[in-house]
Amino acid sequence: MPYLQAQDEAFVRQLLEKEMAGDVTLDFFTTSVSGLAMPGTEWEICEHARKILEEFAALSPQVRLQTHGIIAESDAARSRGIDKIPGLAIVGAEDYGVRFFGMPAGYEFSTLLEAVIAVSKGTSQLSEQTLAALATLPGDAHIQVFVTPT
Amino acid sequence: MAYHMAIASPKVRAEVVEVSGFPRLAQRYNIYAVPKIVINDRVSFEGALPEPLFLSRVLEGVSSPAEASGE
Repeated sequence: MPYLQAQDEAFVRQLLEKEMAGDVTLDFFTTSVSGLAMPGTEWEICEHARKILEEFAALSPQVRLQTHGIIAESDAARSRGIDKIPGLAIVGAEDYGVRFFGMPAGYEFSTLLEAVIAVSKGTSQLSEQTLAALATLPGDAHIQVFVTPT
Repeated sequence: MAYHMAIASPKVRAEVVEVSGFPRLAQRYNIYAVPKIVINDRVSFEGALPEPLFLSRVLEGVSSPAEASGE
């Protein structure tokens, strides 16, 4: 059964067409892409996330989904900063360090949608003051936003 | 907000973590309410903040010494 209903699909398709600027690659890291993974909670969550992302990516020719096994492609996972699965790097003209971990379902589907559009545009909607402060940031900032699907 | 900061600065990495699949992380970071935002494992807060306040917590997380961890 598809995750997205037909009317949601149409809405998302139109929104992506209207709002996206450049192409976006979704580098998705999961348990295994060879079918050798053992069923279990982690596997089930990864599979569910993969299906959602496949449906999502099919809605725009500007969104490309690349699925990686975190063990088979551990170097790629490390270079993308993916240390848990399901893990997603949302990459546009450059890798801005935008990541999503877990299931992009429920309210978090909107988070995914907004992230893809923002990365596609490559520009932020922040005030001049915030941009000025970020331009002189004295060190690296690793921001983790913990959410639940409801 | 976090994603926009990552797009604006190469020094910012922003991760949204849907915690239901990561119970150990929920435990490690004492997630009782969401959204919970953790910056450099040093500074944390719950709930949405206006942009200037969010920024001030980010700056605090970047500049505060590791020993000052609130976690």
